[in-house]
Amino acid sequence: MLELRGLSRVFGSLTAVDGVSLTVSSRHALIGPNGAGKSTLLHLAAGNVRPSAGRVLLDGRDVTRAGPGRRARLGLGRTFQTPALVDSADCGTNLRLGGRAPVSLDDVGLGGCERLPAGALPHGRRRLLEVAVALAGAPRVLLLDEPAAGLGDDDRALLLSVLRAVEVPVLLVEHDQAFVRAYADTVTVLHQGALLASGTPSTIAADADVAAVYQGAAC
Amino acid sequence: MKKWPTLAAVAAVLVTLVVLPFVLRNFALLTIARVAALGLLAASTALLTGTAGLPTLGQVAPYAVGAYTAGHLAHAGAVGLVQILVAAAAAAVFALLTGLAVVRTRGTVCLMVTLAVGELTAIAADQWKSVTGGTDGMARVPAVRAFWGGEPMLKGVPLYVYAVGTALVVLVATWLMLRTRAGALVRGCRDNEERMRASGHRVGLILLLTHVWAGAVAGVGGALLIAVQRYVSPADVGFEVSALTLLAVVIGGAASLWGAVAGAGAVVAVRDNLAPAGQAPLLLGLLFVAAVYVLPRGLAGINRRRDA
Ligand SMILES: Nc1ncnc2c1ncn2[C@@H]1O[C@H](COP(=O)(O)OP(=O)(O)O)[C@@H](O)[C@H]1O
Ligand SMILES: [Mg+2]
Repeated sequence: MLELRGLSRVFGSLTAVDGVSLTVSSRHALIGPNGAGKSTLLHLAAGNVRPSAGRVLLDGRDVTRAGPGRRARLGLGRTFQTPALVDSADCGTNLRLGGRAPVSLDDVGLGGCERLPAGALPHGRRRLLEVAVALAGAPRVLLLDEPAAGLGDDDRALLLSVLRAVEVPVLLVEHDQAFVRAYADTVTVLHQGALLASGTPSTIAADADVAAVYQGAAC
Repeated sequence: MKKWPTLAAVAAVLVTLVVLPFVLRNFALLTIARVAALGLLAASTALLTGTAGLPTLGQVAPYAVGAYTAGHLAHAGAVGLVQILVAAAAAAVFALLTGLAVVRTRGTVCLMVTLAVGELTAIAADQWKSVTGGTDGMARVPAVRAFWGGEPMLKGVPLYVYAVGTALVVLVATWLMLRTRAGALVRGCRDNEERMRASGHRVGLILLLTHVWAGAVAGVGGALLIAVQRYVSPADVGFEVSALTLLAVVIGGAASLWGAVAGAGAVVAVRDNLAPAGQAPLLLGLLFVAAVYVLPRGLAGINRRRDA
């Protein structure tokens, strides 16, 4: 379980994340217009960005001062909005560098790519590979930054089934409403760095404030 | 890389190395032995610059540590094997200490920090007279016996066998290590630190261990230098040697150990044989420009290009 308590991050005069408290204990989607602070919140949770204020607890342990490597060793897995892979290494090596959990390239539709350098994969496939790499680390909590962006319908369906098989809490950033509704049991909306609303997918879909934000942002 | 052409090339090189002592004269063999020493220095630079992604101008420093350590041991009567092992250990300890600073840097900052390490070492070699002999260098180093009970090596053939054999052992060991998971970890840190950290790998530690290994490789190179020329001075470990090494690595292709060694051979050949008196820097400069334009991936890239 991942608990974010009063997290803030200021970049110069911009407050990218503004006092966000959030508990990730199931299939949790994080939505919000571009620039809302979703990626920054994931960076704060994973230790890639230091908070200006607030705390991060992983399975009850305060990891606020721990770096990304240590949080990963404590069970925090993640992917990045721009997929982060070892480009010169083949897909099989990338998977093994992720960890020892029984995940195969087949699971994410990359069955024939064992010997293909990760750098040669098209963008959508890179996302799928990174999801597999993160799962290979046997995470206790998983953070995914727009894993479905740029995927075709088939890959989206595949990703959905892969994610549904994940038994640990997941915090998923995603723009696509249909994907969120199909996957998540909790949705949190971020707007200008602050938490705007949180609830089940259907209550969020019916929320007037949320609709206003999305219309204003033309998203 | 295709398998058969590579195997054929390896076999051809090995056969050539075995045949050379029978056909070349003393001086040529000594030159090749010197290339073996410089080749290890170049390989250690390639390991850090190309494989680990830490561009370095400072590998002359552990090379110097290895050379002076081996020189002292030679004076004390130690055999070559002991000289090599202790020089490697001393250079490794040195690289551990300097590595604590180096692996915190990247890119241009890394180049500057390593340049400073190299320059400070050259200054130390110049100033610390009681240990290094100062500007005059460490002279009258006794001829080295490879093993206990062996003959002192004075001529080209034994020194060639000693230097080339040692360099091959070190290079093959390094090459094999880079083919294991350890190599994948090092290249992973070069390609994507963020990913490596997100997967729980200790990037700083991996790079530090690579720096230590590279230091030991350079240290062995220094020990070979002492055995071959029986003399070392600050000029052997100064900026000019750093620059030649980097040139060798650029010519060889930064990510290739073997390319770096071949590059060292090319640089020495141009400097010592092909250049008319006084024209060596100009010719080496032209070689550098040609290498960057004609072979963007160095000599090691030729094979890959053919495949592409
Ligand atoms: N390292 C940074 N330095 C300065 N501003 C940043 C930095 N990272 C993010 N921001 C800013 O913070 C805001 C939130 O960005 P981000 O978290 O990427 O939003 P989202 O992922 O929701 O699109 C944006 O205005 C962005 O420009
Ligand atoms: Mg984002």
